[in-house]
Order: sequence, then C-alpha cells, then structure tokens
Amino acid sequence: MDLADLPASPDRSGRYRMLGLGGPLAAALALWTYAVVRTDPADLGDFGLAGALPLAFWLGLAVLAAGFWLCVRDPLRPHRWPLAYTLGLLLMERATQALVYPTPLYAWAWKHDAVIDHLLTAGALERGAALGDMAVYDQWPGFFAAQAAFVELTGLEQATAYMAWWPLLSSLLLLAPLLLIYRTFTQDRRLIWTAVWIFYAANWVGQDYFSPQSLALFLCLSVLAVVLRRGVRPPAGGRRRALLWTALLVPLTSALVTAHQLTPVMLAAGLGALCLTRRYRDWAAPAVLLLVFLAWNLTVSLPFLREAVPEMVRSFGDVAGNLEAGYGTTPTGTGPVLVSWVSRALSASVLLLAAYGAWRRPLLRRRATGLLLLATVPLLMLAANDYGSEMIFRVLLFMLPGASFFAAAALLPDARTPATAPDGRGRPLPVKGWRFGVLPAVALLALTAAFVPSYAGKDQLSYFPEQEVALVRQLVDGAPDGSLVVAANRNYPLAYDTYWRIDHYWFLDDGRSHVEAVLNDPAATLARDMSAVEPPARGYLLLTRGQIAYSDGNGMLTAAELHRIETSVAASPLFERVAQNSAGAVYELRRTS
Amino acid sequence: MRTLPTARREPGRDAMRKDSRPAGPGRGGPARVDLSLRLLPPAAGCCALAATLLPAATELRIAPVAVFLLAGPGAALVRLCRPVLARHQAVRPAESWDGGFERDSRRLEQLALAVSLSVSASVLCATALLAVGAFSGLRVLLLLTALTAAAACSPKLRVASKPVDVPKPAEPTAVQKTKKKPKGAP
Repeated sequence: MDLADLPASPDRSGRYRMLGLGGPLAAALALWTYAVVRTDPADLGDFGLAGALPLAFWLGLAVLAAGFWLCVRDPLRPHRWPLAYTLGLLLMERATQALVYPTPLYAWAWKHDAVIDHLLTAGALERGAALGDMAVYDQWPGFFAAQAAFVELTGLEQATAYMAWWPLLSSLLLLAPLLLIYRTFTQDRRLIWTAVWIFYAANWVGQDYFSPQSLALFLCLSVLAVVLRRGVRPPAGGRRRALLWTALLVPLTSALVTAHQLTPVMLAAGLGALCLTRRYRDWAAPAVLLLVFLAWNLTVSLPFLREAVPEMVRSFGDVAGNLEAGYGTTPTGTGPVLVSWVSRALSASVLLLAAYGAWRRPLLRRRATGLLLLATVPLLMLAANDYGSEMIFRVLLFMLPGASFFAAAALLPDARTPATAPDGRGRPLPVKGWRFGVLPAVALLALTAAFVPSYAGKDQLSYFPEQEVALVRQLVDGAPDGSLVVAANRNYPLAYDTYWRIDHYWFLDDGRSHVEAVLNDPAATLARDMSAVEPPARGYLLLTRGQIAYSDGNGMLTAAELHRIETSVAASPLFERVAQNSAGAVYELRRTS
Repeated sequence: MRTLPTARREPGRDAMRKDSRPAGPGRGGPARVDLSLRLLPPAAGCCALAATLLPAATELRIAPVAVFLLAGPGAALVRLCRPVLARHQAVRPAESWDGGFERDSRRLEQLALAVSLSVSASVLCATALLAVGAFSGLRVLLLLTALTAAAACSPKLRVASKPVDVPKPAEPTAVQKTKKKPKGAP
C-alpha cells in the first residue's frame, strides 16, 4: 500500500467519496453524449463546431474541468481519478468531431489517404519526377507504409474508414510518454496531472490528425522520455547501460526519420540542448539520431533535399520572413478573426504561465532544467525555416510538453515535502483558499473552453458533407488517365485521389495577375489553362463549397467572386456541366475537334 | 489494512535492494506464468495472421491485427531486456514520499517502450518491404510475427553478478541536502 490508498477525507464514507469524485465525470459524459446527438453539422457557421455545439456540451466541459480539479487538488488522490478525467477530456476534445461528422475532416488527411492508396497500388517507392510534388511522400514513407499494411491486413477499402478517429488515438498514444517525462521530475501528482491536462487543452494546433507528424510526435516524446530518465552521463564503467538504452532507441529514431522531415530536426535540437547540461552530457543518443538522419537524407530523400536545400539556405536566419503568414492564410470575417485571436490567447496564456511558473519555482526549475531546455530550444527553429508558413505552429507544438509542466507549476503551491514520517506527518495536503484552491480551477476551465474554438473553430472549412465527397468521387472515377482537374484551391475531399494518373491545377495558387485574368474572363482563361490536355484525357473545372469557404475565410477570393466565375463558366459554350449537386458542380471543357 | 510508507526512504539503497533481484513475472511466481507471458506476443501475432482469413473489414479481423501491431513486437523485446533494464537506475524526482512511485514509473516506461517499439517495428518493416519492391500487408505481418517469435524464444539478457554501475540518485534529495555537513565541520 502507498499513500495513494489513504482516504483523502477520512470523515466521508467510501461510497460518498466515490460519488463525489466520479459523479462529475459521469454527468459530463452524459451531457456530452446528449450534445453530440443534438449537434447537426449542417449548422456550421463562422465559428465552426464551436458555434454549432449546444449548451449541454459547454456545461459538460465545465463540469469535467471542475471535477478534474476536485480530484487533482488532493496530492494523495489515486492516479486512476485524474486518469479517468483526462480520458474524459480526450473523448470530449478529440472524439466529438468523429461522432458528429459523417466524413473525415481536413483536405490534408484525405491527401494522406491518397498516398496510402498510391503505395498499395504501386507496391514500391517511386522517387522520380513522375509524381511531381507528391514524390516527397515516397521519400518519407514510414507513416504511410505502416498504414498501407494495416489497411491491407484488415481488408478495409480505404484509410478513410478510421481516419476520423485518428486524433483520439494519436492523443492517447502521447499519454504514457508525457506522464513518464513529468514523473522524471516530480512526485507531485497535482503537478503531473495538471501538466497533462494543460498539454491536451492547449494542443489546439491540429497536428493530431491523420498525418505523419502525429506519429512522429509520439515517437519523439517516447525518445525524450527514455533519454530524460535513462540518458544521463554514464559513470566510470557504466558504458554498458548507455549502450543498451541507445540500442533500444535505434528503432524509434529510425522510424521517426523515415516518417517525417521536421520532427527529427526538432528532436536533434532538443537532445543537443540536453547534452549541454552536466547531467545529460552523453552524446550517444544524438549521435545515433544524427547517423540515421544522415543515412536517410543522403539516400532515399536526396532528390527532394537537392531541390529544397538552396531555399533552406536562403531562409536561414530570416526570422521575420519565417514568421510571415503565407498568401491565403489571413483569417477574414468575424468568426475566423475571433477564433484566430482565441487560439493565440490560449497559446500565449500557457507560455506566460510557464514563464511565471519557471520564475516562481526556482527549485523545480533547477531540478527540471532539462525540461525547461526542451521547452525553449524549438524557438531556435524560427531562425531556420518557415516550413511553408507553418513553423510558428510547429514550434508551439514542440514547446508545449515542457511549457505545460511549468504552466501547471505556476498554478500550484510548492510541494517542498521531501519525505513522509511513519505517522503520516509531512505528507502533502490538499490545496485550499482562493489562490490555490479556486484560481487554478478557473484557469483550467478557461483554457479547456478556449480549446474548442481554437481546435474546431474552422470546421466550416475543414468539413466536407457527403454530397461533396460524392461529387468529387464521381469526377475522379469518370476521368480518363492524364486528365486535368482545375479548382480554385485544394480544399476539397479526394483532391489528390489517384494523383498518379490525374493532374491538378489550383488557380488561386498562381500569381495575382493570373487570378485577375480569371476574374476578368473566367471561361476563356480557364479554357486556355486546360488547352494542353490531350485526348482522350479531359479537362474539368470543379467548384465546391469547401473551396469557396476556404477562399472566403482566408482572404483569397470572396464567395461572390467565385460564384461569378462559376456563373460565367456555366454560361460559356466552351464548357459543359457534367455533374452538380448541393455541394458544387463539375464543368468539362468541350472538345473543339 | 492501510499502511503508511516508510519514512525517509533512501532511494539509492532501496533501488539497490529491489533491483538486485531478478525482475519480471518469473520472480517468485510459477514458471508457467512466465512462459505464458513469453508466448503471448507471438501467439497474438499468430491470431492476427489467422484473422486475415476472416471477411474483410470485420471487427474480429481488425481488432487482433490492431492489437498485435500496437503492442506485440515491442512487448516481446521489452520482456527480453527487462532484467537488465530493471537493474539500471533511472533518473527520479528528488522527493521520496510516494511509496511505489518508482515501481509505477518503471511499469509505465515498459508500456511506453512496448508500444513505441511495436509501432516503430511496423513502420520499419513496411518501409523496408516497399523499398525493395516486395510490399504486401501479409509479408509485413509475417515478418513482425517472426521477429516477435525470435524475441520470445531468446533467453532474457543476462544480468551481471554484481552491479556494473552504482545506482545513485540523479540529484541529492532535499533530505540528503539538509544532512550535508557544512564546510569545515569535522
């Protein structure tokens, strides 16, 4: 038996305590179930899912956060209680969309399904220029290869069958390495579980979807957990230990390197920073990572790097340029702007709390220097590259495990108790009062609530109704090999379906002058864009609600301008409408001969 | 009956005492349990292989495949290394008031390793087969099951008769710090 088994409040009966601790969780899940049933994806507006969820969801979230704090404020509470509440949070945060929407979210996730389809069709990697921009996925195929094997073994038609549940699964995978990292630095259960809660509540960046980076983050945190616990400088004669742990890390780092471009670089920066501390001055783990990284990048992914390195060199050191938002990423309209500010406020709050926690708790800061370094070193990557205007988000993501720990430390009292006497004296006591009893609960509640609009506030852009999927499926299935699909942008489902036989052109990705030409004379300009297509291949124009919502919400063309383009094409003798439903329309370029 | 943890437990000594014994399910338990645990991962692999004969996309086919790919190969590898891993001291918090904390951390570490090693093995096997143009889901599963069976059949990594490195707390605990003699004291 350990301290966990002691009754938190000896004057209460076990059943009453059970009801008090488990009741809020049960109530929250009941409210959530009701809310999920009552939510209609057709109601999505400017605030995405956040605006469509009924009051019951928000009440459930509040009850869940309050119940969590009720459990976690007592440092002797058994781990199963905060664990149950954390799982409840993950369900409410990451499973709601899978239950509410009939189709998977995010055009990028649909693209990853197409890559898996390609690997299953080809049965081998294609590193040449034949695949164009998509060849890069065959140069970092780890995630897709494993998914392809799973799809084939289970007999599922496509990864879309389980893609919607991936955010929940990938978030669950992070739990064990996160706990292990925090348990390396403290025994204070309040601190450990509050940090885990803050991590999940602040992880709105949306890299948990069906993607290589979601798997790579899990592997990265697993490596860090092992290194933080086991990667200390070996004492004299202790090299065998280092060798064994390093050998165990080889499969993890190898899988990581084959799966994603950026994560190994972030991990290398973190391991390098750890080596600067006296405790972790062992170069075995970073050396192994570097060797595997070089071996992969100088062979399999060399074609991509050969083209990308000059641009990487150009952007190195240009922090302002790397922080610049790309074209088509400026939130437009009340909803997107507000959602954008809420997500910024959420991240800023956690980082400020983390800074305050590190400042307020010098002893903890000294003990967890490694974690503090891991929280700050991703900032260096802002100087390295813009990563397609996404670097700021990736940096935030990799700072979060460490930042959450110190943010939790800011909310909690200092647990200075080193050990407990046999009679129980010296054991930590539950937090009380406004400062540590109520204020942290309010902070957790605010962070948890802010997560929903930050994470799901753009669902109007990311959700594709079944009609939209059916329309694009009809187009792709009927298009002869070598056909060209022209669309405003790539925000539609199946955009890359069978990309090895169908070409794409997204005219909003083109220069401003060409976009103006499309606006001035839509039918003639688009027909010229498709003129190189040789029969029997065909040229198609596809306009769907997903493209229009994305363009309108991100400061590209307005919905009215895109509708004007469609009206012009529909009226032109150059095009013929071949498919239409409530989600959009497909126009085919007429053959002139 | 509830008991309180030992006061002012000395982490180093405690860990030495615990870790000097062979760890794992075989300790003090019947050899049969150890054998069952040893055979469980390859048996899960065989179940997954058998499940591929079932109709496509059924729960009975998906579940065994998913469970094996998520935990099978890693569990076999962790079992193989467990005695040696348990012998080596991990970095721990400076506090020591929570009895069983280190034991729970060790279990959590083994769980995290089992899953991450399994996922990594799946990624690497599938990638390697794609790279040589011999990819198929069944080959990936066969390869992983063979790897798991090989790990299960191998003897556990041997534990040296005496500790190869002296376990010590990662950082002096607050208790030890308070007991530290001032400079110049006799």
